[in-house]
Amino acid sequence: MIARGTLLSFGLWIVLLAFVRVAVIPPESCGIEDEERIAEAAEAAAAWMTRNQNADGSYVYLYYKEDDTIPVAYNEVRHAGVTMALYQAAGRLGDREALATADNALAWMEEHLIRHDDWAALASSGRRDRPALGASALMVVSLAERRLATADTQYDDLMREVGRYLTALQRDDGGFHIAWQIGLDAPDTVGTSRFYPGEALWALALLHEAFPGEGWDSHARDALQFVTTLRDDVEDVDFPPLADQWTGYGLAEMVEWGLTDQQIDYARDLAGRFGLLIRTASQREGSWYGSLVRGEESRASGIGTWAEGLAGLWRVAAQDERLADIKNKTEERLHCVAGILADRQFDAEEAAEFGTPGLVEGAWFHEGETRMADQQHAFSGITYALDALAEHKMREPEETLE
Amino acid sequence: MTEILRAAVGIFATLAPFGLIPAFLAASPTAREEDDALAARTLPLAGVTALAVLLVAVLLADLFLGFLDVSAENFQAGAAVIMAPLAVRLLWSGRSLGLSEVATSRPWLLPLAIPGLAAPASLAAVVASSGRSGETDTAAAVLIAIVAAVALLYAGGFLRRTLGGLPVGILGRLSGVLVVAIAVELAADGIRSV
Repeated sequence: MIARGTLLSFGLWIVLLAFVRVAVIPPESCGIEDEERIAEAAEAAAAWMTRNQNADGSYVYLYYKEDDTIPVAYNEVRHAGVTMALYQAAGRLGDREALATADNALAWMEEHLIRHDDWAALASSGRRDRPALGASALMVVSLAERRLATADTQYDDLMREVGRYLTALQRDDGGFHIAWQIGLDAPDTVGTSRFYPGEALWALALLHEAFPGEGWDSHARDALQFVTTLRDDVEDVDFPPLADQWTGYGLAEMVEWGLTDQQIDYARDLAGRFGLLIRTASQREGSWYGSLVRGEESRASGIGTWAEGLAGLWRVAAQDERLADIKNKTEERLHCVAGILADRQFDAEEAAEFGTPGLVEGAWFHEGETRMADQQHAFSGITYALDALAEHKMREPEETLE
Repeated sequence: MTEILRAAVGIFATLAPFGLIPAFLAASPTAREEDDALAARTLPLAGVTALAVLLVAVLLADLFLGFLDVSAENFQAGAAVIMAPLAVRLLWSGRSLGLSEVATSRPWLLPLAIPGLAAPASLAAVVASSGRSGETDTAAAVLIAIVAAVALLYAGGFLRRTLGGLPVGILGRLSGVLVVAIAVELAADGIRSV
């Protein structure tokens, strides 16, 4: 009787442990470990963005590899984002082709500016009556990245002009209206955006870095206060904090200005959120049952944003003692996420099987489609993850391009 | 020091000494004062054996996690689930072992040391703590927790003689609540960590 009871107990434990293994802790895999191969993935992504620019300075926004088609679609916020990534490639990799491509894209943005009062805003052809805050914020970031990569100051006035659009939209609580309604000559006071405040925060921080003493820092500080205290409630985020990589970039820029304990706590929570997302992604990669229980794999753009955000927070951890305890774990996760991205990228051999290999090589596909944002976020994520592994505490390029 | 104490509380909870008192007293069935002498002989053996098993778990934690391809943070969620049967048993009966399980020739080893003290729940807690707090802190925490648990078990006979069986049963059930709290904290920490 005792033996039977012991056997039953043993059997139940086996069942429980099997359940735990399959459903709770499936094995994790981080794809490619070799940092050189991971760096090649970033270069290939930058090459995709460079190669797939249209004659007017816009990029291939969306591509389906199976039927080799490029649907008609575009988004000015993502245009600014890809341009930002190319300027990062120019600065970080010394990639002159990326610089030339990004300059063409900058010309496209200049053609799509709307000027009003003392500000300028980037607006797409379809939304010229209400230019989105995010597009202008990322245009400022692009210009700041160009300035860092080249030390060229010819666009400084334009940076300030677009920067004034951000401050024109900033509310008293530090948050932002999402657009100015040109016809009504008033901001849109109803709409909200989860990610525009983070984009604007980073842009304002970069404006202060470029032009200290002009007052951009107080706007950035107000934006950071809003993002770290109110945004999750305003946006009704189910599991705060919102996994927003732009805030990670912003915190990294502002850490040397001095962050409050509350902001450091927020940074810790945000790092935890990115870490959880990366660990979950690594469980999807680790086994067939991991991919079943952890659900559909994320787009490269999503995974790239986790790497970007966590890389920003690594910079905070590297510079602020209060987060020093998470620095090593952050590096582990960054290595992992960069390896996952590199492993999932289409290489030249795989690309040769499709109708237009140049649209496949260096890209990441999700259900047969790639968007330019996949390459943008994956590139930036990998690049700054490698920065962290190399202990580059400052994001600025070491040498500027002429 | 705070980290060691935090880890010690978590490990102590999963040792669930209040839930072991009935089984321990069943191994010394007369429950009289002379049983205290028996306890003085058997409990150190049980404690040292459990301590050795848990310290080996501390030393092998990294290897074990590597073998499983699991990060320490993700393992914490698994450890929380592994603690569930112990928590349910304690909440249901106030005991972590059935009285019939003590009918062995060496009760200090089986079941008091294993699986009484060194059980799946405490092993999982130790591996999780090793990933979270490091080997040295966890080893110190294991030592503190085992000493505290053995001391409580030693006082078990006295407690039952002075308080009666009911309070001991209530304390056993309360320790189930503590295991639940520790499991939730462990899982939540795993989710929040980088």
